[in-house]
Amino acid sequence: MPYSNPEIPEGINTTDTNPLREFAVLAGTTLAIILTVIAVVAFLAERLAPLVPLGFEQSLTRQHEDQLFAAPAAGSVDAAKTLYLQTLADDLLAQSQHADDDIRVTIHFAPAAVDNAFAAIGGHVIIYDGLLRRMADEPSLAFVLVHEIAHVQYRDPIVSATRALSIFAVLKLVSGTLDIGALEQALGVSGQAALLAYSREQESRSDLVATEMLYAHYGTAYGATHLLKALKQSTVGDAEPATFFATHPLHANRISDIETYALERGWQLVDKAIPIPFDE
Amino acid sequence: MVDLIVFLTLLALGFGVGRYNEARHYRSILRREALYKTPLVIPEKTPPPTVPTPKTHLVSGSVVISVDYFKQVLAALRGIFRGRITSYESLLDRARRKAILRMRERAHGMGANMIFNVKLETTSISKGSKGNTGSIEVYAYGTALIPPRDAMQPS
Repeated sequence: MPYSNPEIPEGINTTDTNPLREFAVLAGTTLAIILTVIAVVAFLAERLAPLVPLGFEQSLTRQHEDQLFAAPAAGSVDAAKTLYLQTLADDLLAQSQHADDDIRVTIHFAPAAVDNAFAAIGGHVIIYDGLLRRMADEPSLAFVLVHEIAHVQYRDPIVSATRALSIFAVLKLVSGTLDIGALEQALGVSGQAALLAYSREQESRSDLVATEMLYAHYGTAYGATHLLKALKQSTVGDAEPATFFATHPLHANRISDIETYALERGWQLVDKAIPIPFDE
Repeated sequence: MVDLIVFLTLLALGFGVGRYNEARHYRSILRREALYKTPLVIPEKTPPPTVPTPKTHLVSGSVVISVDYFKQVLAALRGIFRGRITSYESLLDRARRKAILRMRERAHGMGANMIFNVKLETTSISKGSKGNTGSIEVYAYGTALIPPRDAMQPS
């Protein structure tokens, strides 16, 4: 029996496709599905999370308050600062049309050199000493306080937490179940980018609510723009993160939005510098 | 942000360098396949009886080839929607042909004119992240027939 090895034409065992086109179609479709699922999950979180009573939120944190928020020693400077901040917050809230008797905000002063303040679950607002020291006057500090209080009033902490947990649970299910190891980072980034977009939305809303509360208390919204301009000035030379990856809108955009909001209502942005008693 | 940049960079590198290396490898395979027309490679288990009986020897060839990052990602995406994973087809094609070539070279060096009972074994050598295929080994083996001085010639 004669044996031979005939020449096999090329392309029998391979498919002649454009890999870039295939990648674009598959990646585009996957991204579209993920973004749709994220949008649905985020929508549901936004609608359902606020239905959790604030009282339940507060009961969650009350049991662990001592561990979460260290109380300052009685008679100390930190205790005086905490009392000052709480009193100021209560005054601002009392005069605001957004006042809600059911929402009690607890201010905590953290003696750390961190330039930050944030609202947490259970109606807690934490302000760091680093940020307090940067405040030029009381209206600027008041803007920070009412901005965080606005987050509490709109239940942003529990909405953000629910939204984040839901989105990352979905992404983990997609990447874990289907073993998309190589895509896990990209999925994580897309999830983070979506969350950051929602975060910027919350920050913009809090800015405008804070502007209203400032005007109600001081008769001017000066504190809002004064602080943001100072922050913008201090970041000259350091690049702000690109909007897409920032938790807050750019300073310039925030200032512009507040000024527009105030001018539309005929509110003055008059300088009203009231010193902070702990200005060191 | 850094993660995304790293991911996109690896993707671009994988695509560019991967395509270049694949094209170069195919050129090498075609050149060597033209060079080694003998010994013949036959999957039949039993060679025909010949007088005088040729000497036999186990011959083998193996190759390990890895897939580039772009193809890994493409395969992972295809895994969501099902269908042919075309990005791995050329990987397997090259690996099989290279393994057979190496087996042929070894048999040629022994003076064989045929290799019978040729088999191929394919193994995943290293997994990428989350168990995605990183590299494969193809092992080709068979029985080389080394004819005596006045042996039968292949037709």
